[in-house]
Amino acid sequence: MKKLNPGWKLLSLIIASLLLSTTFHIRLNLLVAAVCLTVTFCTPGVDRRRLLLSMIPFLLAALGMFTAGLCFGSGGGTEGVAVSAFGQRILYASNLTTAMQLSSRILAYGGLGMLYAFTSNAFELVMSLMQQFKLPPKFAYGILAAYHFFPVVQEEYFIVGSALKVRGVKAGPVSPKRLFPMLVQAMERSESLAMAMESRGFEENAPRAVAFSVPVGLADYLFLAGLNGAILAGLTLL
Amino acid sequence: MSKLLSCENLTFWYDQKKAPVFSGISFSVSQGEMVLLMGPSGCGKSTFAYCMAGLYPEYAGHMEGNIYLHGEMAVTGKLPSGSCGAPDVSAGKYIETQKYPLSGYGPAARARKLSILFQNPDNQFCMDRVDHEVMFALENMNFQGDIRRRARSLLAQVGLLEEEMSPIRILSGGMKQKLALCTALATEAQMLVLDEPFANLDPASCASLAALLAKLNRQGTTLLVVDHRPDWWRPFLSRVVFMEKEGDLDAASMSPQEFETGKEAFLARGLFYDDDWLGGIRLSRRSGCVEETAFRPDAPGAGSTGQDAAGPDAAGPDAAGPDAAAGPDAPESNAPDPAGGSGKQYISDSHPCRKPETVWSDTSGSGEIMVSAENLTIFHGKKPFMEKLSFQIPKGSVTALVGACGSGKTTLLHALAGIGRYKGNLQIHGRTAKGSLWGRGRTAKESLQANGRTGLVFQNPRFQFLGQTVEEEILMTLEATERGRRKPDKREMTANSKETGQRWQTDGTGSDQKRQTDRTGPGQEKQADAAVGNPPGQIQQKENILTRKAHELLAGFGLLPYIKDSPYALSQGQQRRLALLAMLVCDCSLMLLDEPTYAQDEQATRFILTLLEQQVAQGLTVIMATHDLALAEAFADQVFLVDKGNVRELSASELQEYMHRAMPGHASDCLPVNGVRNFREGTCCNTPEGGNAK
Amino acid sequence: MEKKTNTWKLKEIILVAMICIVFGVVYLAAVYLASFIASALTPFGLSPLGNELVFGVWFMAATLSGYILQKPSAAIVSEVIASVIEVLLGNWFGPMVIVAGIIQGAGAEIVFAANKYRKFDGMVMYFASAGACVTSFLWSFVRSGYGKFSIPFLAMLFVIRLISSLVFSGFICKMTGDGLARMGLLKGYELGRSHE
Repeated sequence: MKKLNPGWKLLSLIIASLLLSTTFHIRLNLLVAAVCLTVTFCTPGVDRRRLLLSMIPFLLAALGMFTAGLCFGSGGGTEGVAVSAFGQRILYASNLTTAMQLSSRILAYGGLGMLYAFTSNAFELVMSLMQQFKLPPKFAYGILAAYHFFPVVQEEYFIVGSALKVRGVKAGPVSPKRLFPMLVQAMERSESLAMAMESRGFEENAPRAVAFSVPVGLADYLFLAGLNGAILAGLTLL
Repeated sequence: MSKLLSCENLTFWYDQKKAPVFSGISFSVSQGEMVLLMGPSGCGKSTFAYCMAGLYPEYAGHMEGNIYLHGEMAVTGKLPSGSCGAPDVSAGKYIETQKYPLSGYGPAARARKLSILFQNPDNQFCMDRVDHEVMFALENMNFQGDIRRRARSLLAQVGLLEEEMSPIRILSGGMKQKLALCTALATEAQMLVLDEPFANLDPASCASLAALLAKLNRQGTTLLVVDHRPDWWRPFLSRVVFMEKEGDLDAASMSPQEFETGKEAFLARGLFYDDDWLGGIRLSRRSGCVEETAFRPDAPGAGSTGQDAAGPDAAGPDAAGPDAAAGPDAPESNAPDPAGGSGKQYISDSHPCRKPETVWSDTSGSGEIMVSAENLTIFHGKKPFMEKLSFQIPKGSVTALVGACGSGKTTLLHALAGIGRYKGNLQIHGRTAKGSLWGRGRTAKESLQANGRTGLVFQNPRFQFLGQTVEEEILMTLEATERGRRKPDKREMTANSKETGQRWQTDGTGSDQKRQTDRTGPGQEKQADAAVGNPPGQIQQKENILTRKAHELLAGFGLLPYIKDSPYALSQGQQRRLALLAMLVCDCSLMLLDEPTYAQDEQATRFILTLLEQQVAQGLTVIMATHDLALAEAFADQVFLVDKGNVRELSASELQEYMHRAMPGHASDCLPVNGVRNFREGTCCNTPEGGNAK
Repeated sequence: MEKKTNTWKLKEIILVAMICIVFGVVYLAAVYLASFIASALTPFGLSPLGNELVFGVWFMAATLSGYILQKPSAAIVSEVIASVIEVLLGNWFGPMVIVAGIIQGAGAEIVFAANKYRKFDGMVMYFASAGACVTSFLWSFVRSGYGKFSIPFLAMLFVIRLISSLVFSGFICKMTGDGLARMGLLKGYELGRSHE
């Protein structure tokens, strides 16, 4: 999985997700989720602990959708059999179906997402977008440069919190008090970076050598066809 | 020697509605030279360097005049067809001594001729790994061949080969600058422009970088260095040029010999020549006499000259006549000090920075311990970073923390301030500061309560700004302190800090701030914005007094022209001064400073140090982390070396040895000088650089 | 002097990307909070509300960038950049966020375009946030199957999302943009120029 071209992998998975969203197919969703997660688990070099931890958010989301579907599903008529009593309400089979549909979809998306996130490298993705999908270099390198600053910005977020604390001020997570210094810093940084990149000779339309080439191979096309073909098959056959 | 880069009649504005930063400048650099461009902070030398490197006016401002690149070149960039004297050439032909306007070069072509190294090593790199960055530069140059191998050989040249695979983030400042240098080599630039490259580096890195640059210069690379400290450049410079507001810079350039003997010229411009001036500081620290000084207010066009540095205190309301208290619009109204510049006098009683007797006792030589740590473990993130620390810091003393980058000085300061995690026994001002393994989870109130009034000025001061304007910044803190003081019986930390903490949240500039305050104290006081009209009599009076005080303090720090500006619009040095001032007025008993003198020229450094001295004489305890070893040696009572997770006090001789090792060629035993150092007012650059913050 | 051009300059791209990174960090923090709320609400079936509460934060980056740069395609391109960065950061929703980003950005972009990219005051900002909210809600029908919910519930979700959008992406963004311009930091960008 890791060797596949990230750009094409991304495309494949997007198409797959779109296909899945055309209809509500509980069994297919669950199957997709299970397969993806298994594959991700088995891919060598994946940090399994982190994978498990990352599964928590979307499992929670799926659960949330499940109960939401139960309580507020529009399929609530009096069809079907009363399955259980939940609080004051009586649930019907159709409610259960709704809930399963919603939550299984979340699981499927989550599976696909995890499959991508844990087997791909950000750097290679950007390079692939630039090389295979004709993303202009200024966008590619601009995004990449900012992305590399993510841990620094994260630290700064906490430093700003601490600095304000030292002055005796509390600031919420989205409060402008935190945003201002960080945005000011972001602006300065972006100007410095742009200047620095240009002084290293970065020019939009000048011919560039390629140092980090990301190849595309047969495997990528096969993956695209195979994954989506399987899903289509599942949609019609299952 | 043939010219390489020159400019004619160059004028630059950040904002065309205001005065230009410089006008009508002519300057040239010849092949193989090493030119040092000097000037005090804010005189526009960095702006000039950016113009010469071709970055301005594209990135900021408006420029008039011409900049030319000379000499032989292979035509690879885009040249406008109407450029002066560009003959019809095809790639590969070389032209001698023709000049081409710099604006005709695209970034790629320009990079082959000249490259710029920035002051701040952190925001220069777009890649994550060292080798990737060099390869990026090579990609830009359309390097045909084995890029990876070329990158490795370039890294070897600057001595970074072992760090080839390291993420850039973890490199020290010195190594980052080396990496920047390496990328400049990758573009095969003939000339390097360096903007204060050593500003935030430790001495060891400075030494190795200087050696590297000297070697490059010997091999033929031309260097144009902008700096206000000549120390590192002295061994290999060709000439020194001073930045002026206008005119021909070359005309006033000094050769190295003239430079050695021209100390007075330097002092006249308020520049660091060597560390002599520290002698004055050292002597005053040892003798306990406190000198009064004033920072000459930078009033544009006011032309304040001739004031003796050791003379009037511009911020003291009673030191001068009634005019001094005339209010915010009279920055120049400070009459000469009645005591007449004797240089050694204590601060007047009504000086705003002096703390009232009720809070402080006379602590000179009291031997009271301010900070006591035993078996302290400090965490950085989740891992213990420094363990088994034990030290004591007496009250009313100055302690310097020295050590290499990343050794933990900042972490230690944060722990002392209560925002870092630690475990163990830490007592501040007699109270046990509760260590917390979940340092981030402590609320503001708890921090203040636990650690008393501890102030911390961050390495990056802009993270601490709260006010919309400079004036508001100081006013907020003044009010908070004022209210804290108004209840002398409640000297309990808890009550005071509860109030102080709460006060800081009463600035009414945003409704969501109100959501966060918890108002537990007595009634709400109105905001003291001087423009707000008609609160009842007494409060109005109080507010006016506070506003006046704020203005005086700001004038003393040279920030009065900016009171209506946002704190973010100031330059780095000014921001640092503002953050320091905001901390100083808040009645702290322990002041922690992270690199307080970074980006300050001699004038400003002197002022800060003297002000700190005054506070220390009143009982303030100061702990500062600094790279400047000479400063630490002169100013601090004790010096702690933070190294490899350990904190160790250095004796005087150990410190000397450390300094010798770190700064070869520096005389660390400065000439003893009579406590007072008078230097003439610099006439060069009174107007600070406005616009973009550096 | 720089004139307003429709091409993206390097520094603008990096600025947008940096703003997205800043909001990415902020978003993570906000999402923790939201997750708590959502989990607490799960037994009542109201969990999606937790998600809706912070929905506005998602496109803060886009509206702020649109506000600062004020050029055509600012909103959509910034949303795409934001989504790509989300993917780079390993967002668990995976590749779909890019599609979501395009659609949300389009919502804001439509409003800006309707004003011919000339008017950028408070009302426009609020409408842009609302626009993004609407398109994203429609997208949620497709993506998450909101069609399965009962109408009252849907209405509640929509209202909360709208309020969240207006507050975060409208109000806070405008305030922040104005604050930055007031400080004189945006001289190189359209917003700074129009403020003078």
